[in-house]
Amino acid sequence: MRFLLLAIFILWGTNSAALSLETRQLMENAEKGLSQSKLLEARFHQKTTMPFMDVALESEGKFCFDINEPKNPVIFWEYQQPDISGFYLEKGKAAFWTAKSGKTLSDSEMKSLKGMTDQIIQWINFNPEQLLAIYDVTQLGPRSLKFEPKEESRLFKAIEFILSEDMLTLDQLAFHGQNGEITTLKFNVEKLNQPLPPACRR
Amino acid sequence: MIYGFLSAHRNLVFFLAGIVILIAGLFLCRINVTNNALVLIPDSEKTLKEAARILSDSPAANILFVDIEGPDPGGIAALVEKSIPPELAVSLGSSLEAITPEEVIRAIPPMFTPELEAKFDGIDLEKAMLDDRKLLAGFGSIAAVDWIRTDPLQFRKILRDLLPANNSLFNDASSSDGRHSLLLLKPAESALDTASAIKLIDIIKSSMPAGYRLTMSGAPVHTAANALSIQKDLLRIISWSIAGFAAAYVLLARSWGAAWILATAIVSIMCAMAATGLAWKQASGIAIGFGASLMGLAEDYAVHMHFALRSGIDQRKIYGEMTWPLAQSFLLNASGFAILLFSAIPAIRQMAFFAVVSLSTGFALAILVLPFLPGFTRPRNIKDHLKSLADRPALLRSVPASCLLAILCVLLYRNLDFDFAPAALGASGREIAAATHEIRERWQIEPAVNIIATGATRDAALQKAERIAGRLRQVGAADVVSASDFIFPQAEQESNVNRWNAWIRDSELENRIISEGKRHGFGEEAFRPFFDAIRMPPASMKGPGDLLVFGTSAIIRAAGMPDGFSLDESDALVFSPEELEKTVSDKFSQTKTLIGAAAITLAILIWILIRRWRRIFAILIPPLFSVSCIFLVYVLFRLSFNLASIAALPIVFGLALDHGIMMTHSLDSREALGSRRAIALASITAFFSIGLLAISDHPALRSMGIVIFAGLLGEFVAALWFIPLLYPKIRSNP
Repeated sequence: MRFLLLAIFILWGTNSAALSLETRQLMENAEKGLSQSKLLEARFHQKTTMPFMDVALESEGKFCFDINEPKNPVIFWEYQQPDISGFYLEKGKAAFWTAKSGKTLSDSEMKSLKGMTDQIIQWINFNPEQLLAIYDVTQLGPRSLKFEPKEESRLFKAIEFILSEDMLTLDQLAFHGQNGEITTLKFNVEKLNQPLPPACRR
Repeated sequence: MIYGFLSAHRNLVFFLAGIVILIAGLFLCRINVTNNALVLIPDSEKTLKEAARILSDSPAANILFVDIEGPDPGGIAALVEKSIPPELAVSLGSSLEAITPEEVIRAIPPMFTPELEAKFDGIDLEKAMLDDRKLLAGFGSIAAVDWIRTDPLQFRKILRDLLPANNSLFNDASSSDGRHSLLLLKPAESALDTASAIKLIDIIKSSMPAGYRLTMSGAPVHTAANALSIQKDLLRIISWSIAGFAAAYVLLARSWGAAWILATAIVSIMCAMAATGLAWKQASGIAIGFGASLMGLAEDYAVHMHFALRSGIDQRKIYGEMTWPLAQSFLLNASGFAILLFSAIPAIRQMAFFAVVSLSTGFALAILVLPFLPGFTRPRNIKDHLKSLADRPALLRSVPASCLLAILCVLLYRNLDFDFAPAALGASGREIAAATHEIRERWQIEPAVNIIATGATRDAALQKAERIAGRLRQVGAADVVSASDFIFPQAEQESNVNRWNAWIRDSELENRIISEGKRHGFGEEAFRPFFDAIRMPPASMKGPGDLLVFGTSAIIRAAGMPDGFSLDESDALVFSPEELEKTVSDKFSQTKTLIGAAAITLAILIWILIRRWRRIFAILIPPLFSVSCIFLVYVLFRLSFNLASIAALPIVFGLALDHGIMMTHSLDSREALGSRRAIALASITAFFSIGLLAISDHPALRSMGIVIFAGLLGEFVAALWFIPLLYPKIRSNP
């Protein structure tokens, strides 16, 4: 009996260790692949479902980045359907616009935007050590990872991450809210590591 | 006669002294010592007194500005915020950001004025629902869920418009080049709470990774810098002090009876502390610190009595010889300090009171108790060798010597540099001033004009603030922010709450929101959190109003005072830190006049008490030479006399005068009174207790130490060597 218990324990232990090793391997592969993507131009489709809404909210837009200079990234994010709104970050200055208005953000407004841009840059850079310090990571599939914040977050419960087959970009990103809300972003890469077109600049 | 009586009733005397010490000990337990530096602000005028209260109580006066420079200053600022426990300080920016949607809704009812009601009436429900959908479908996504469910009509936008825009007092910020981040912290404790200030600044410094530069300004920086500097100085000096004290007693006293001298000093300080605690609700740590340095003076009478009684066989005669000169010395010293009781500066008054009580106790113990204590008068082995001198000083020696020294004092005084700026008393003053300038320049923090409206109640103050703010806005003053913009008088708040309840009921808001929500895809329960929040009792929102109101005072801030604007409200004053510093400096410099008055009083008293010209001129040699030495050091090393130097002057002057009296008395009486050894011991112990402060880093302690060091050196030389030179030698008979 003791032998059986020990065998179960060893099998369980090795299985967990193997899973953890596999997850780590996937994260390292993701880091390797994503770090090769310095310039990106992509379209995205965002779908949000919420328990308190009878309909799903959908939107589409364009996402570009240039991280050739890591300390000075360029980020372009624009919703184009059904309404226009977006922001552009370059050299630490940001512009924010909607269909009706546009403005350069003041220093104090930058602070709240910075939280968002820092998040985007963190995921683009994909540093496994940094992410493992903040999140509990689980592998959901051969190219899929789930990140759950170690400290409770008011904003989301988990982020799911599906990598492209070549591991160079993301295929899908899903944010799970605290009350069953889910926002899924699907990316369609148009150009990779090619100079950004004027449509990605402001 | 006194000796006989005391000697016969020594047990009764000991018993009474014990009772007095016991009572002092009991009152000592009740003393409430404060480190509040505001005792340094003169309270002779109503405006200054009020300014001191504002500095002490106003939350706006206690903000720590933290500038972080580096590759990711925002990230580090967030890390710093996270590492500071809320019981120590909170970030002003994050305290506004951390407000929950529910708090926003609950804060509306007390602020629901007719103007706000009109704005809320203008809300287009359909547009609000469309905006909510846009936010959920766009950037906001799931992060916006709480806000949309609890605040579907976006009341927050209307409230945000009420907040002061771009006012550095209320917002954290990031610089446009992304290299700097400004964090505004509001300490939970008073800015003058040393322990909290040190802990807070320690946490901030330890959160800074390599490659980042930290610049801080604000009251807690001053507090922490001063406290740390003083701690460091005292730790460095204390071992030398103890060693020096012990060596002086071993070498010069060589008697266990000398332990009573130390006990006298301790009891004197204890009584003085107890009396200060009784006379003032809060005793200033600064005043007590200065006062405790008088231990040397308080023990001086005991030292003289000890060596005198050890130098002869006839105790009764020696006691009789000592009583009157000691009383003269006590009266002169105590009256000198008593003059300082008229100072406009509370700390100086407390110090003077402390000094008078400790001197009185020291004198009383030396005369009434010590001579009868076991072991105090033994061993009787002190010898004086001054009997070869005449029994009075030569007029032609003492008068010119004193006059020359007086002239030297005046000449040196005219070359003295005075710096009465409060900053001259603080540690790292230049560094902190540079940091403050840097932060002000970078973040364009213009020194604002603050108007403080005070009333019998908080409501009265707020009403007054509203009137003043209204008038300022009428005349076109820029960036006017008033506490009354956010906090309403109680009666008005109640009326606003009633207005809010009526608005919710009459506008059938709940039904309208549900039906409009359905049209845009929101379920019936989508806005349940909003309906729950409006039914909760109103709550106050943490925000700018909390910084602008304290006690029964309300602050109005404006970028400047427009031309022609006169503040005709009673109980309202314009508060400017720069103006306050200038006024305080002026008041500090008036201490010079008080010192002059004390000198004149002393001169008159010396004449009344001594009435012998020759001796008076001889007595004046140690104090005059001592003051000359102090002034000479300040002139030669181009140092500036400040309030600490002035406060130390009476201590050294008193000791010098005392030694002048005792030395001349010893020579005049031709009795062996052990005066030389007493003067040596008193001077050396005073040097080791306070003279060593001259090597301090803290400007106030150093200034005090330099005065004591130079002064003691002067009085020591003058009392032991110069005074005997004034007495002609007696030619021995062939």
